[in-house]
Amino acid sequence: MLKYSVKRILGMIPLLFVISLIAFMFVHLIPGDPARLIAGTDATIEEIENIREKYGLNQPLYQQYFDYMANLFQGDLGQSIVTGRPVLDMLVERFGPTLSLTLASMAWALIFGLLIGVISAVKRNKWPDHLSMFLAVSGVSIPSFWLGLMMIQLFSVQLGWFPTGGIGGFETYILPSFTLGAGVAAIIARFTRSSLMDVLKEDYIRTGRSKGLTEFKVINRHAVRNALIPVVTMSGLQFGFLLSGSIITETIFSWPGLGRLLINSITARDYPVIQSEILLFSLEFLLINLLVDLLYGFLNPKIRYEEGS
Amino acid sequence: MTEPILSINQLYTSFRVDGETIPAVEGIDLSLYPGEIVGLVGESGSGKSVTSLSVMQLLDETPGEVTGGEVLFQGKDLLKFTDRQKRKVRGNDISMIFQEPMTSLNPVLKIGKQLIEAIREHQRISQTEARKHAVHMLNQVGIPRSEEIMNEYPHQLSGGMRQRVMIAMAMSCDPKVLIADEPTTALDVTIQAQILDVMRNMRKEHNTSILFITHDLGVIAEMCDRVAVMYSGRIVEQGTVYEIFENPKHPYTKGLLGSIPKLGAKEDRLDSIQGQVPTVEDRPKGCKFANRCPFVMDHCWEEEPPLFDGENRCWLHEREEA
Amino acid sequence: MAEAATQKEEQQEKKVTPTQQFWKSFKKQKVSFAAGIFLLLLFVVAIIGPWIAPYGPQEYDYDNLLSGPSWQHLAGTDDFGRDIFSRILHGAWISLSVGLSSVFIGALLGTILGIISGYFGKWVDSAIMRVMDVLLAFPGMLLAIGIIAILGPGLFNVVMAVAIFSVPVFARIIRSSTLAIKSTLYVEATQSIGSSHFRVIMKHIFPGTVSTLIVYFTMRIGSAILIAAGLSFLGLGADPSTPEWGAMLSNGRDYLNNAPHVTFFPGLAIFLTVLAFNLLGDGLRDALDPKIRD
Repeated sequence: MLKYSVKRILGMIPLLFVISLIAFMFVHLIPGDPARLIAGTDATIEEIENIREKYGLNQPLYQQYFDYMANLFQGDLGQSIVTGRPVLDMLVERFGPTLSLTLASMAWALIFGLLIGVISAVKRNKWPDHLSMFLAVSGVSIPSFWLGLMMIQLFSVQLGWFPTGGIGGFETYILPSFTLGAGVAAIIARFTRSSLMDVLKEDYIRTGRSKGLTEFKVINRHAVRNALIPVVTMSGLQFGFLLSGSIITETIFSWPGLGRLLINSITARDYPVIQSEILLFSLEFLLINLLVDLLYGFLNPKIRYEEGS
Repeated sequence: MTEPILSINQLYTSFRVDGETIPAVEGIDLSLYPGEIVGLVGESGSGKSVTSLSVMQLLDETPGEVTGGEVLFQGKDLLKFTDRQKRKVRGNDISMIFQEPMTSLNPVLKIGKQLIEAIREHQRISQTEARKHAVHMLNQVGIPRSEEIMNEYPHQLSGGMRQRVMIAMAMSCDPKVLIADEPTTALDVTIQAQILDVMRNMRKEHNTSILFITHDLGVIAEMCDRVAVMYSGRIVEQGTVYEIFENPKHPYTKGLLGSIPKLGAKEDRLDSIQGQVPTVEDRPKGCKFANRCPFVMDHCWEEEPPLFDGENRCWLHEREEA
Repeated sequence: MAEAATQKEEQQEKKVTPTQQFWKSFKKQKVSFAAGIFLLLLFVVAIIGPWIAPYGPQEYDYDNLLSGPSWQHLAGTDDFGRDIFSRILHGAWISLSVGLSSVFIGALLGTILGIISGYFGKWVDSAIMRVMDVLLAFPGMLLAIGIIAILGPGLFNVVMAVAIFSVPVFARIIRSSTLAIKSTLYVEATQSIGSSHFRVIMKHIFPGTVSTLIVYFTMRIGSAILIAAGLSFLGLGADPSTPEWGAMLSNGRDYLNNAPHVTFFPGLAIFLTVLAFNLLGDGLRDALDPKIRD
């Protein structure tokens, strides 16, 4: 297990390099003069020169990259063009709401997804299966912005059960997390179903039945545990989907998270913020992938023992 | 003679594929007496595994379905049991081991857990007692370091060891009948012999009846008291091992025996049965073996032979009947 | 277990051509079949939409602002009094062509890369696949937004963004079918008699990947339409005045309280279209590619 983990962590290093490079290059990839972009549209020539000097944009590219990385390690991500505040502060205060929304969405996506998937596999080719799978296809097909707005219309405007947006107590999480989690729940349901159906064909399931176990015990103890290994891996990767989905959901529900900040920055051409957001989102995906790999190793006794001992 | 512990009477099992019904077992009669090992032999597709799954009632998850007949266990028809009653029989009175030891154990559960589960399903005993019994069973099937093995996962064991674990598990509730579906086919020859030994010991110690399914006549000769030969979903011949090997009556049995290499005999090539098991729709109208039989007569194509003397299904033996 | 059954199936398969076989199993998927017919109708509507729509896409009716569905305006009107039903008909063409063209570009590039990668192997393969892995590590939406952030907003850039994130999906899947085909004997035989790489690829490798390509192509269109509409909704895609479904929906947000139909109908159009593509894709996969069948 230790060897496996170290291998996985070391494998991240080249990717980290690539990501830092992409984030760094971002400002340079946009057509036009980076100094002018950072300075904003109504900057004077003098201001632009100041920016060029300050950000070292007159230096050779590799020197700029080293400086960028040096600043990065000191926690200096530059300042927002729009607000003038340090980007790091902005990201830090936005991180919590996005994380909590993502976790809430994943929690219910897992509960519903697993439940629907298991029912579907156990009742395969009967009506509960057909219904569940139709719901699942609908779940991946429904535009989240439409689902979110329709839920606001029904539950907030018409019924007045939940607020239309903003972050606060438990009730403010329900609509946004439902909107964000619907697609992932659908994906988990489909995946659980096919994974469980594969497992139910395995010989050890027949062994379980031949011991005289009830169908519930066969599915619960023998099938689900095995079927969960790939499901957990896949669900973990769906965190990425949730993070990117949060961009739309946060916009709909006026949620003060990273996603809404990203859209606002893009609209306002706040390049230092966009640059750091790209870096942050990328790091999050890498981290998720790593955690999922480690979790997979932990769940699978073959990896946990063989490579560890 | 004593009453049979298990008797299969006129069992019919068929599969439903794309709305069509395909018969797999067509009217089998077979009895198993206490402490007896009966071999069920045949080529793949002859219906021997389906027979065993029908007896265990493990067809639910396959497209297969028992369509007729009865399976009497201690005089009671298993086919009429409720699901609950069936579960009480499975693993307790009748247990089963399978062909693939590599995949028949759950890879994510420790060996001990899987054994204890089987024990506690049918016996009201504590976790500690069940554990003790599990270790005892592992010792009985000849597993060294049984205490340690209890805490290991299946992938840490070899195929032979896993099959021993399967036998320990199957025998843990002291069943009356053990169904072994090709238990040694996937193993090396040396390991095969060890596993057969373990099974013989089990029979001796627990007086268990064993239904031994295989395509390997060599194993039959070594293990069994009686043999039933299956072809195209029917039993074509049955008798004691001695009778069948010394004096096979059905041409199919003769063919099977002819395809085993004999020690000492100098043969350029082995006899083999020509052709393949016919598919359901190509089965001859009369005797199902007619298209491959070296002794085929006109009558064979017309009418299916009944079981003469209760032991073989071939028109060649009609005269003896009369 | 049921050897007899499988043998029988094989025999039946021998008697029919692959196309007949495909039709036979595809027609069994009733829901997918219906989805296919729905999409066929949608394509017709997309083409003749401008002629059958009762109103023009920018036809203002200041007497009917934000009025609900009626016989006069089937899906109601928006804040400029424009007929929403007519705009949806006009917009069908935009949504479909954005979805189709972006996936087409992505599939084209992805297939070329995938075949090159699988066929030539070695360092070419590892180089291409490394890049694809990095691209694939990012969810489509974020990658698309990143690309839009660089290229700037606009429908054309949306097509490019969606195309780029489709590339690794196709590259990966086509690479693996290429590897499978390459290892078959007939390709080795053709190579050994000295056919050029190009010829081997075009005559033997590419035709073998077509069924996989069709399945993935169909399945990607749904998500492409969804993401394109999402980008337009966020104001990063189509110009707000065009009858693009996502943009229409975005316009309606401000009137959600008193005129929910302005957002409801364009959203429904997106949902049904994406649903139809996904259902069709599932059916095609089951009919064409038994390997990935449940």
